[in-house]
Amino acid sequence: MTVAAIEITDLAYTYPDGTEALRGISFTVAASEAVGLVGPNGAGKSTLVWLLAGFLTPKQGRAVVQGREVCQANLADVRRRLGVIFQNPDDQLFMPTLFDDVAFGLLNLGSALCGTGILPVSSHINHGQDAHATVVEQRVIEALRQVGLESERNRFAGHLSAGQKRLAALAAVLVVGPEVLVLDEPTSDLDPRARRRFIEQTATLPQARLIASHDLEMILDLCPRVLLLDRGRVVADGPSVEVLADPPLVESHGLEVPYSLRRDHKHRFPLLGTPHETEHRKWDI
Amino acid sequence: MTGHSAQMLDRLGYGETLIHRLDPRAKTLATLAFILTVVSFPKYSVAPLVPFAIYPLVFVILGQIPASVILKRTAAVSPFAVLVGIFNPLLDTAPMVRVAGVDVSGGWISFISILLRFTLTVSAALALIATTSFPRICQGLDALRVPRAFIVQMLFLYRYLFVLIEEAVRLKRARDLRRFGQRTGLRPRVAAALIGVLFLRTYERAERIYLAMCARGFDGHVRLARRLHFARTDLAFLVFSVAGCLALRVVPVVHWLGRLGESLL
Repeated sequence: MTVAAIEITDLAYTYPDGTEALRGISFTVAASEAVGLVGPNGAGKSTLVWLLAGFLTPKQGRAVVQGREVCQANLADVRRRLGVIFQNPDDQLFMPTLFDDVAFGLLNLGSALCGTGILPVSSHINHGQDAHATVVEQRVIEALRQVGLESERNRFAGHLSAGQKRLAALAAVLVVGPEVLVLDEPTSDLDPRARRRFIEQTATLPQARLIASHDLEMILDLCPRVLLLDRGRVVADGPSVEVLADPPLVESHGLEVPYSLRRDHKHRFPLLGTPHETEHRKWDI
Repeated sequence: MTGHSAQMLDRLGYGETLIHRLDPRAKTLATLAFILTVVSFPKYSVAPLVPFAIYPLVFVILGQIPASVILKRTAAVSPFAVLVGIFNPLLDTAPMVRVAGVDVSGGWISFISILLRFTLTVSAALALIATTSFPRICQGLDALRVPRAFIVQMLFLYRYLFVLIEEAVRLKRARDLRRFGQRTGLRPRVAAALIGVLFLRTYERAERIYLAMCARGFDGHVRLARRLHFARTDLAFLVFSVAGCLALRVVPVVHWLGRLGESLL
């Protein structure tokens, strides 16, 4: 039986000031599945991401990643298997060079990674420190090459463009070979070309992905399934093209039907195209 | 100091010169020996301190660091040294030496000595950072069995210094945009609000950075891809530096040179 990538059961979280962020959340993400997590501001998306990463402890329910419950005892194991891409890459890239940034996770999770295919079995014990450093260097360069940033390895990450920073954050997470990826607003400050590049890069990844975002077009591109979250509850869970194309549903929860779906379902959106047609007529005169 | 200038010193630490390649333990211990020797001189010492300028100079020349980087930063923090010694000329007025027919009091001599010691020690520390990179220094300290809590504090202090500078620059820009060209000073109420916001923003951002580090397995231990390797060159550098410091401390080189100069004249 295949282990679910993420299994959330009756999860609830209330912040110390009494704000109820999540209640009764239950869902499962299968291995290699890409699931979008959408909802208005304050819906609880980021809280859910933080609970999955073990930064917060749930008041009720449980979160399981690759068969390991997210709790203090399993934290190192869970974090090896779950890669989190933060909303702001500047928070994630803190070392002086891109190389050091990407190597950070590999070096810190070193012993947990030995024998997993990421690092050879006890490479630093059997072959000495230099051999270990060589393996780490090879892995880091491989991860940078995967996202097309190999030539930037000695640059200060803070001086990269926004798109490059996103890809660098992705490389920093991919280098430890996670089985599950959680991305929090991954395209929020990217220009169209960088956004497209990031989407293409993410689409090729074999890992299970949970993508929290307001960018519904990106969710349609990457995630066949979507969870609609509002006021701490999952209000819809289904195929993205159906959930996001339901105007009463998405509009009652602070979202809008993505443009591409409006275009594809013209008959359901009588107002669609009005601005364009008006404009066209204006120029046509 | 702007974020850019702070980052420049940081980036210099990633050079590939002979000095950069030395083991951080050798450089840190040598610099520590240098600083301890410089501060061990009596309060009226001035001339015996001058030869110690060789140490930071060697770092600057061999490490190919622009001297202005070190000088500007030393000057930026010099008000602290001035504050420490500024009252000496007022409190110690007894004449000590006569220079070009003018009596110079002990207070002025000790003030100059403080400034000289400050310049030497700060420039040596800056030269160390500019040729080593701060994470490497911390890695070296870790290997020297310095308590980990202390190293982690240093590492975070250094990292969050940049966060603080970045946030302060953003706040300043936001304030300048809404000053509409007026050059009035910062009112106490506005200053207090800015400091409060700066603290909150920095605190929140620092927390996020810490969580990002934890997400990638950070456990308080400093690990870098480049491993430490204490070679013969490092040992030679350390021995030579410590011996040089001790020799300059014990042997009155400047006095001898003065005597030599007098005899030649």
